[in-house]
Order: sequence, then C-alpha cells, then structure tokens
Amino acid sequence: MSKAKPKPPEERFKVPTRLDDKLWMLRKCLTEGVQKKYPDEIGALLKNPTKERICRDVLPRFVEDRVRLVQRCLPQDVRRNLYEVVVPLLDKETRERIGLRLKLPFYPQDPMVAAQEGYELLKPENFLKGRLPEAKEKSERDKPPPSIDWEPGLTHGPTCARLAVVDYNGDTGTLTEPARWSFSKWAFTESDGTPIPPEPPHSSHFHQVSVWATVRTILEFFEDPWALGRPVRWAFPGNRLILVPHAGWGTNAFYDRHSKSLQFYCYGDPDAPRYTCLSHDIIAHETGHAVLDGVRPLYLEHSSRQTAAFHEFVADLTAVLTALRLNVARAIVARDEEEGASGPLERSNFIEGLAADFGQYLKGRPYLRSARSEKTMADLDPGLSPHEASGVLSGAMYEILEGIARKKWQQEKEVSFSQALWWATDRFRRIAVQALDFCPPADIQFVDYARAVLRCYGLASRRDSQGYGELMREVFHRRGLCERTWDECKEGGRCDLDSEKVPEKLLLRHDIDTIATSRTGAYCFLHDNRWPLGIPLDQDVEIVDLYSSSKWDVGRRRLPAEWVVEYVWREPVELDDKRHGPLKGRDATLLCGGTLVFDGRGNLVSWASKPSGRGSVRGERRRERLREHVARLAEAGAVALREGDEAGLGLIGPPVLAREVEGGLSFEATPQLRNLGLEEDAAAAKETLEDRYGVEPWTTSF
Amino acid sequence: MDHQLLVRLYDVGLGDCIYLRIPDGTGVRHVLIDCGNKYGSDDDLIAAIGDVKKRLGRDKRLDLLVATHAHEDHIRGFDAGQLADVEIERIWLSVAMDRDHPQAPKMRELHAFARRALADLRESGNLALSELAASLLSLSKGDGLEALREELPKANGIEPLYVHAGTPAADLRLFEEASTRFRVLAPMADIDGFYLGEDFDALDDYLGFQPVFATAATAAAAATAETAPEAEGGGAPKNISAADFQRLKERLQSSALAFALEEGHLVNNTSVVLLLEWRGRRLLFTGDAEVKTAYEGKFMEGKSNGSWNVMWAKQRRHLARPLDFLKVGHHGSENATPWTTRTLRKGGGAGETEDPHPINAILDALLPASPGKARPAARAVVSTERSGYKSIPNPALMAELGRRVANRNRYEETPSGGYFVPADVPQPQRTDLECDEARPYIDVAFKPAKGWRARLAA
Repeated sequence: MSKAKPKPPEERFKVPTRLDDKLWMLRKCLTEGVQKKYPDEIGALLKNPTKERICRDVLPRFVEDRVRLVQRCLPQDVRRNLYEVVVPLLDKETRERIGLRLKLPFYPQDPMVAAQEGYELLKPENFLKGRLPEAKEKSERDKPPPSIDWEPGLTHGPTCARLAVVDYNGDTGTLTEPARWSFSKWAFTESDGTPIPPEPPHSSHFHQVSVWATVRTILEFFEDPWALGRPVRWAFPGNRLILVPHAGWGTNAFYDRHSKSLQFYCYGDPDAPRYTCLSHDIIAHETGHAVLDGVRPLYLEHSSRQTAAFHEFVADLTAVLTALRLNVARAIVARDEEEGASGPLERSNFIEGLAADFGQYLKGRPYLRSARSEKTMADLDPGLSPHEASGVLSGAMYEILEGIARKKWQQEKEVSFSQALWWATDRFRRIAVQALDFCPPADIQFVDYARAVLRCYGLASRRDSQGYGELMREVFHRRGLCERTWDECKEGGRCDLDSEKVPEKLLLRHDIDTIATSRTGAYCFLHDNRWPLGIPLDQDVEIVDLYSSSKWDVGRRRLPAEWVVEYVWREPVELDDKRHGPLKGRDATLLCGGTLVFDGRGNLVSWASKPSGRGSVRGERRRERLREHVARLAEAGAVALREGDEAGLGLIGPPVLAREVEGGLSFEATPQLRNLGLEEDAAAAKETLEDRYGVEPWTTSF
Repeated sequence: MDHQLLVRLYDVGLGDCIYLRIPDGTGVRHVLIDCGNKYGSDDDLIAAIGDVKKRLGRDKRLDLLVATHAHEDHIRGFDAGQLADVEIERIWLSVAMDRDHPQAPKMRELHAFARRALADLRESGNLALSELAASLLSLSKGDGLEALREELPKANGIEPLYVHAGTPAADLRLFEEASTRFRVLAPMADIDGFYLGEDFDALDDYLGFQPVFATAATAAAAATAETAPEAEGGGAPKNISAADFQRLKERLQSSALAFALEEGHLVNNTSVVLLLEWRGRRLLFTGDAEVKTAYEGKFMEGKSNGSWNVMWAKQRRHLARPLDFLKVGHHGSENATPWTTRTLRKGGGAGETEDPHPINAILDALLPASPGKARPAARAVVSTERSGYKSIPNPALMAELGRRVANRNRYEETPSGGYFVPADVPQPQRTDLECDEARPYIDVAFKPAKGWRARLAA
C-alpha cells in the first residue's frame, strides 16, 4: 500500500498561512504606529506572535493603559489595518479598549422621561459621564457609556454599512445638512466642523447622531453572538435602513418597509417640541419591528391576529430588554426593588414607565404597556387588536425574566438585585432572541414561539440544571398556550409545547454542505423529503432564507454552528362567505412551510412547520382560522383591496392591504396616518382604528 | 300647489343644489341652498340653475342664496354670469368664509399648508397618490367663492352676511309670517374654540414652525437647505440613491395628507346648518356638518368637536324635536349623520354589555323610528352619487334612514367595490338612483301641519 501523496504546503497550511498574514499585518500596524514610543513592549510582543497570545491576551493588555495615547497616534490607514486584522477576532470590550469603538454623546433614554420625578437617574448627564452616582458597586459606577463599532466606511449622515440618516421633513419639504464625520477629531461634528454639544438645546445634528447611535446599538444587540449570532438582513431590497429623525409633526413613529425607513415625528409644544427620535424606547420598539421583519419577512402578512401580535411582542421585548441593559435603567429597577419588599419586577414601575411621556401624551396610556399584562389566552376578547393580544406573550416572557432574576437573587444573597437583573437579562436575551431562528417562516402563533423558546433552550442546556426550562413550561401553561394544564402535562402525554418531530426513519439525509451551499441544494433536500415533511407533491416550494449562525451561550462557550432553512408554499383558500364582503369570490393565500435547523454535522435539531391546509386536522384549522380572520377584517372595514402599485396609499387607507400574490390575496399590515396631536382626533382615530379595526394609529407597527 | 312648501333637490352628481319655494303670507319666497358638484359636469349645474330661474317667475327675484361651506361640491356652480339676470336679495355665507373673521388667518394658514402638501403630492409621480391629491385639491380650490364674496354681492348691490349660530334674529329676518323663520344652528362663530380646540394652537404654531436648532452653523445650514431648490438638483441627500429618496419623499408626503384631511373636516364642520320652521313644519338643511363619536359623542369644551356634537350641546332646544324633512348630510357619508353602528361596551368578561352609542340619540330625536308597522311621517333625501368615493353613501346608514322616513324606495344599485344597499332594503330617496334626464330632481312638497294656526295661537 503506497503512502498518500502529501498535500502541497499552501493547502496543508491554509489556515496557519492566513493567520500568518494577519500577524504580519498586525506587526506592521503596531510597528508603524506605536513602536517608536514603546519599542520594548513591541519587541516583546513580536517575539512570540501566536494568535491566542496576541489577540486575546497581549494586545488588549498592552494597550489597556494607553488607550488615549494609542487612539491619538494611530493614523487612518493603520486603524483600517487594525480593523481588518482584529475585529473578527476580538470581542466588543477589547475593541473598545483598543479604540475601535466610538463613544458618542447620545442619550440612551428618553430625556422627557428623565425629567419626571423618580427618573432622575435617567438624566442625560448621567449617561454622558457614563456614571451612576447612586450605584453601590464600583464596577457599575464606572461603566462607560454605550459605544459603537467604528467601521472604515463610516461617514457623514451618519452613514454606515447598515444605516443611513436622511434628515428630510415631509411637512416642510426640507432636507437638513447631515452631521459630518471627522476622522481627525474621531467624532461627528456640526457642518462647520465644531463639536456637537451634548447638552441641550440640541442641534439637529445631535438628533441625527443620537438616533443613528441608538439604532446601531440595538442592531448590535440582535447581532451579538449571545443573540442571533449573525448579521441581520433587512426585509427590503438593499442593505441600508434609512433613519428619518424629523419626518414631520405628529405623535407617531414607525417602521415602513416600502420606503426602507424608520420615521420619527415630533409633537407637543412647537416652541419646545418633543422628539420621538430622542426616545430610546420608541426607537427600540420600531427597530424591533424592522429587525423582526428582516428575520421573518412573512410575519408582515396579516394571516391571523396572533401573527400581527407577535410583531408587537418582539418590538416591546426589544424596548424593554435594551432598556434593562442600561446601567441606569437597572439601577432604577433595583432602587424600586430595594424600597419595597415584594418580588423583583412586581413593584418596579420602570417597565410601565417606558416611553411614558409619549404614552401619557396619547391619552394617558403607557406606550409599551403589554409587559405587565396578566392576560391569558382565555382572557382575550374577540377583537382584532394585536396590541391587546400581544400582552399574553409579553406578560409570559416578563414573568420568565422575573423568575430567572428572582432565582438568581435568592440563590446568591451577596448579589445585588441590579446585578441579578443584569445576569437575568443577559440569559433572557439568549432565550428570547435566539429562539427566533427556530420559529416557522410564516403565520406564527404564540405556541410556535413557546415551542421555539423551549427547544432552543433545551439544546443549549440539556440538563436544565437551573430549572429554567421547567419555569418556562409552567408559565406558558399558565398563560394558556397549551390546551392542557401544567399538572396534566407533567403526568405525561402529548403537550402542545413539545417540539415537532420529523419521522427520523423516513428522512432522507443530505450532506449539510450540499444543503447549505445554495437554495437549490436546500430545495433538493426538501423535495427528497416531501413525505416526512408533509409537502404536497403539487406544490412548488420556495426557499425563503438559508443562513448559518454562530452563537454563544452565556458563558461565552461557542454553541454548535446552526444551519437554518426556511421554506414556504402558498395554497389558495376560497373566500366564499358573505362576511368576506368585497373580497368574496377571491382566494386568500394560506402560507404553508417550515423552518429546519441543522447542526454542523447535518443533524436535524429542530423543525417548526406550518402544515398544508389539506389532509390534516392542524391544516384544516389553519384554513378556517384564515377564513375567519379575513371575514373579521372585512366586516370591520379594516382591509382594502389594492391593485397594482399603490404603495403610497398605505398611509391613508385601512390598516391592512390585500394584494394579489401568486393568484391569491395576501394581507399586509401597513403604517397608518400619523396623529396630528389633536386630542379629539386622536380619540376618534383610536375609535375607528383600534376599537373597530384593532389597530392603533400612533403605535403603528410598521 | 301654491300653498305647499316645495323642496327640490337636483341631481348634479356628487353635490348639492337645493331650491326652496316657501309660501309666505300672500306670496312666496325663493331660496337656493348650495350649487356645486364633484365628478359631475358643468352642464348639470347650468341646467339646475336654469330650472331654478324658471321657478323664480317673471321678476327673477331670489330672496335668499345660501352657500353652506366652501367646498366645490357645494359652491362650484355659483357663477356670476349664470346668475346675471337674477336679482338676489340676500346672500348668506358661512362665517368661516369671512376673510375678516378674527380667526381667518389661522384657517388660511392651514388651508395653504394643506394645499402645498397636496400640490407636492400631486407632482410626486406616484399615480395613486397624485390622483388622490388632485382630487382633494380640487375639492377646496374655491371655484365659485369669488362670485359669492365679491361678484354677486356687487352686481346686486348687497353685502353678504356671514352667518353663525349667534347671528341676531333680526339680521336673519326674511319672512312676513312671524311663525316662519330660518334658524342658523351652526356653525359657532368661535371656530377655533369649537371645531379645532386648544390643541390646534400647537398645530397652528407648527404650520409656521421650522426647526430652530442650537448652533448658528446648523441654523444657517438648515436655512440653506430650505432654500436649496431641488430644481437645481442640490436637494437630494448624498448617502442614499435618488430612487430611494424619491420613494421616501412620497411616503412622507402621503403622510402630509393628514393636514389636508384635517382641513377638509374643518370646512365641513363650519357648514351653515339651517332649520326652516314653516307653518308647523320643521325642515333641516345640514350642509356637510360632521359628527364625532369619540368620547361617547359628548361635546368637549375647548376640544376639536364635530358640528353635530356642538349643536346637540348648544342648540338642543331647537334641535331635539322630530323633523318633517332632513337633507341627509355629506351625501350620505357615515361621518355626517348622528348615527353609528358602533356600540359601547361596558363591563368585562361574561358580564359585558353592549349599549347603543349615545350619539344615536340625536337621530332618534330628529327621525324617530316608528313603532311596529306604523309608517314614519318624516321625509329625507340624499343628494349623492357613488362615483368618487366607494363608501359614499354609506349602505348601513341608508338602510337605517330607510326605516325612519316615509319617502323610501327600493333600488337596484350597481355594486361598487362591494358597497351597495341590497335591492330588498328600502332607502330614502336618492338623487343618483331616482332622477333621469326628463326629471333631473326630486321634489318633496309639504302642506302646512294640521292645526298649526291653533298651535301658533296657543
């Protein structure tokens, strides 16, 4: 038997060679940049240039004490090289230490809320100094303000790879000059190059930078390895979301897929307008919509009340979780807790107080109110309001957050509540956000999400040593997401929260590389498995998305790589009831399909399906649910039939537009006409849109 | 027939043109309320004016001309040339049309702002938005307004009277008979206070609002940007494509339609609402006065109210009695008759109840539903056309009015976008479904009420 022919050196050492390239570049950067000032350190560093030592240990420690000096002395090309070399390897904290993240003077909270009694900690100066004057722990007191990754393409606007600020006012027809990026000052400046003053009264450029920084932070929140672990795409063609900080007048802010934008309006006293673009909570809520629309674009289709409600849930969740990641916000919750004796989140008014100013302006109601909902599925009224329905899921998830924080706090008495909450929020983000990848591609129901949460958690924590899995099951049962009670399910038998199983024996396996190579490769796998996956032979399947992610668990342990395949097909559902009104005689589209999650070795670890409307009890239920939902939309006059390109009319028509897609009608939720701030009209709009149609004009979801 | 009061409603398309022949003492009075249309032809309006002139007799004397509000479907037909041979004794216009009204500048500002937004939108290139904007622009373009304010008064040597609910009775005096009178139930003179509310101040201020930011540099830049004409091509941002910016502008401008719609509501709510009391009969001409169902239909002091809500609060003693005739407001739109299918939910869970909306009490007072199979006494006509707006007239409202009036018919209506009243459901008489070329109007005649003299003497 002859020896195998040795591989050529470049192939054998493919990875090390690439690393060598990087190390060479790193050496070049450091040599050019700082060697003159620190020859000894550089010499020591370069003696043993292993990947681990340089990138994880030596470099951060080397520059840690000299951040300001290093930042000053790095010219642009060196910084670009440094970015190219170390960004993929270093974590956020290290990038911050070596000067590759920007510290910007922006408010991560609503200054109007900060002005209210009890919210003094949210005052801008506390953010700007990065200090928590009342915090007991030194680590928290000294936490820096939020920072943002620098990128070489960062420029005026601000404009970065994923976001572009366009300060256009639709009412006045004016376009305001963008904030300018100055590399030499390492900051955004006014048009004349002077620094943007962080203290009020603010310039328009402060608003531009602030809204950009806030959205960028929230995007990072989702893209972190602790969350989705991959860059999130947008739902529209293109990759840059447009941010409009001063879109016009009115108590509104919304995500609008058709114009690729987040639009923020101002309201109140024109002499001292209140800008929604300064409110972290409002920005977070709307960015949450935009992110979810990218992750699951078909959730925009108004196929059921729960699908629309899920969008609201994710938007609210984004606002609450990103707020709780702020030191000052947690300090407030902790203070509320320490002042009272009851359970952690039960007493704190903080969650209710999110975007309170905006909410109070809108008829004295909390804007993000679903967080504290006690509702169960049985309590839901028969209306159409997605906000009302989202309270069931939001309430359940915050109950889980509270449960995790409470467990931590009770188990470790030396831990402050603020620390326990930080700890819980971090874990909860992983539980809540990573589960999105396990959700079906369309027509999501609350129980689908609950299953995804449990499956995702189960994969990362198989033993459930801390009992969070059981806690979650108990909460979901209590909220009525399973038809049986928790006690009944504990005794055995089928639980609605159990994840779906593919008949393994019937599954024809493909190599994961083949599946992951292209959408066609993924389709071939689906075609070979039509029977076990329940895909009718006559249906042409579309691969909606194909992606991989690299996630971490809370202990920074890398989770197995995941490959996700989303597929759908559309089936016609006849609208033949007189309740379908003007839509009678047309076909609605029932979205069917599923989400398959594979591990790196090609094992199918999760399947979330939306079965065909024919041939199964679940499918028949789905057909009926769609017919009933469309009937109720039509009865309420909440749906308009749009032929052709009438996209612009979305803002002035009913909240749902029916469009012809592949021979059937699909129902798209649209942004609504903004509220002009006339109170009576706000109430009238509420009546006509919320009570009647189930949609609120000012918290328009999209 | 000379002793009968005649109400003639012309079929002019989507619009109003109403002629009244009112016996008074030994003679008669001739009154014309509105003349305009939307989506209709000039020929319809000219024909209607021609017919009115025939009714005036040899001296061509028109005792009163009323323009309820300044929308084209009510005033477009007032042409000085067409009315040159008519001697007009009085012209009554809504107080909101008075250029000297202390609140006129604010209204003009809102009007100008709305028109600017609409003009931008009309040029946007988005077909659907352009059409809608053009439609709204034409609604308020004011054809006929100049004739009413200037030309006709000058030609007849009179001054128009800008009427409101507080206009002294002596100024409104028209009839010989003491018992016959027009009462102006709306609008109120304080337009801001009743129809726009305090919050309008914020909006009003905003109309002249340009963001003023802290630094001089920014302000200068903003000023430059404002004046930087897009015609020069310099008004586009450099960080997104021209196509993306165009799409964004369209969406933002369509949002500006809110202002245009707000202005439209204001003009409707300042319609002149006339109650004619004649020999024991009560006839109500409503223009396009709107109703609001928010806050359970209550009048809210200092807030933006609907005209019906204000009338119910301030003129109830004149209003809260059964009518003999109702000119159905706003061509049968759901927002101009005080009635709604909406209910008020009270309580919760199993104990939840649904009560009729309180606003329905107004229609119950004006056109009470007859018990059992008794035929109602009142009559109503809808001057309408289902052309520009699919939901006008509102089918549910038509069916409800059909239960409450005597002059009801069953029509074979052509469905338009799913909106129609089924053929077996009676509706009040409708100009669009009842008139033809030979008879392009609906006549409703009234004899004096039985015992009216005795009642008057009492």
